[in-house]
Amino acid sequence: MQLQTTWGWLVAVYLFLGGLGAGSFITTAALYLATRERFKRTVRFGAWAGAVAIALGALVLLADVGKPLRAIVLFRSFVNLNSWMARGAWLLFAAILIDGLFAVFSTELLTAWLARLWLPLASRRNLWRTVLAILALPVNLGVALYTGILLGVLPFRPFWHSWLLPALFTASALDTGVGLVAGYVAWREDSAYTEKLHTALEGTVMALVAVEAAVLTWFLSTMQGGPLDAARSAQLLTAGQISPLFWVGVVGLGLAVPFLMALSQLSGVAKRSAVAVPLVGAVSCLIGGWMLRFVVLSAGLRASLSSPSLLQILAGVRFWP
Amino acid sequence: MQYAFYVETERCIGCNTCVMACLDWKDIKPGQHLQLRRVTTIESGKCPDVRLTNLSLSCMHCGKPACMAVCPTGAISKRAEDGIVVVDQSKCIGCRYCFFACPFGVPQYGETGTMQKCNLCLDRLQKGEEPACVSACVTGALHAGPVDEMAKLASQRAAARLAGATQPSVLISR
Repeated sequence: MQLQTTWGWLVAVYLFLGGLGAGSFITTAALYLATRERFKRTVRFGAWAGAVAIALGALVLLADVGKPLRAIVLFRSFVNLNSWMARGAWLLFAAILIDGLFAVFSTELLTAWLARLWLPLASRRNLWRTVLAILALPVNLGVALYTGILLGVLPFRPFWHSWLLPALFTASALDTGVGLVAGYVAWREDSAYTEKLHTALEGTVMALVAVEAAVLTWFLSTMQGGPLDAARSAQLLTAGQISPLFWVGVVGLGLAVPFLMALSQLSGVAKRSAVAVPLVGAVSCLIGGWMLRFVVLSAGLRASLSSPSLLQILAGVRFWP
Repeated sequence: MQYAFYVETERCIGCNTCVMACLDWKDIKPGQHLQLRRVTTIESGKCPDVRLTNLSLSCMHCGKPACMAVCPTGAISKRAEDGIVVVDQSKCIGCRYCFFACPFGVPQYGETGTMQKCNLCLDRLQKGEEPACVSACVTGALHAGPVDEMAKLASQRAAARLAGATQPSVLISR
């Protein structure tokens, strides 16, 4: 069966990075609003990771289109706001701006430089950060949802045409985002409360992996029982050409490994001081996140023509009259 | 008003002259991987009752073009005067979103990176000529014109307008 290749691995990278950036920024903004100055390093890292991942994703998308230089002029090229592609471009733009500003205010060096420009910029930085973090939550959630909606609104791609797809991509976005931040906390955070935060994040990873697994199962079973072409697409994933990528990449690396790594830390099987375990969990989670986008893209077959009039006409044409 | 194609499948011998005429008129060179009109041969039935149907299709110039709805740049539009769906090459960014929206897989992307598809030979229509594919058709199987005229032509035979959510402007007869 012919796989979908018009949007290939680069678009999968874009959808993945958009989700990852949104997920890690949501984690960071929530962490900042809840704990303020307690985890400076993690907040700084998570904010930059969010802004940079989304910006990189946007660059990857630009690299993939036919006319990148034309596309980059947002206000001229993304003008049809009924199109989810255009809405998404503006959402990405807003997210890069807000996440980036928050990241700048979370970096001492840059804040000191801002103070020289205009003092209130620096002296009021916590106020700005609070405002930005509150603004960022819906915008980044929007980015995560959008990566799924972009595909979900296409009626003639039955495997994508479901609200379960945005749900699945958002679950994966949060999962990879928290996973990335958790990996960083284990590796670098030196606050007195690191232990507590780490436990909380690993617990969240386990919960999110469980949610993602449930949504994935729901999505696939809906598709199996859905229209013929959707069922064929789902079959491609579970038993067809791309099933190795699906079972090893998405289920193994994306769900099982992060879950087991988190479990081993929470249960005390893995030593608390061992950094390798959370890092393996984080990296594996990220690879799985990309694979998820890639297999879903590849399996997105077009609905076969089933116009009743066409079928009727074809049935009526005889080679020998 | 809406222009439409009318394809008489029992006249079509699958010679691909329409395809060549289209490539020639659009000045598409080999290696550009573009083919704005395609002839598909569909087998049906079981031996000895076998059916072969040749079907020459291009853009359907839908009444409700799905490609136009999703285009982020507004490069795709539907002309009010004749319903022809056209692409503004200076606006298209080549994101390929329209390819996924189209139920027929019509949009293609050549060396320019922008979307290419049939415009019903608008330049020829404006000079009062038929589209290149229609005028080249050896057996007179292809027709193009206002949809009511096409329907009148088609009424002589068992024909129907292709059904679909996007309201494709193509009539097919057997």
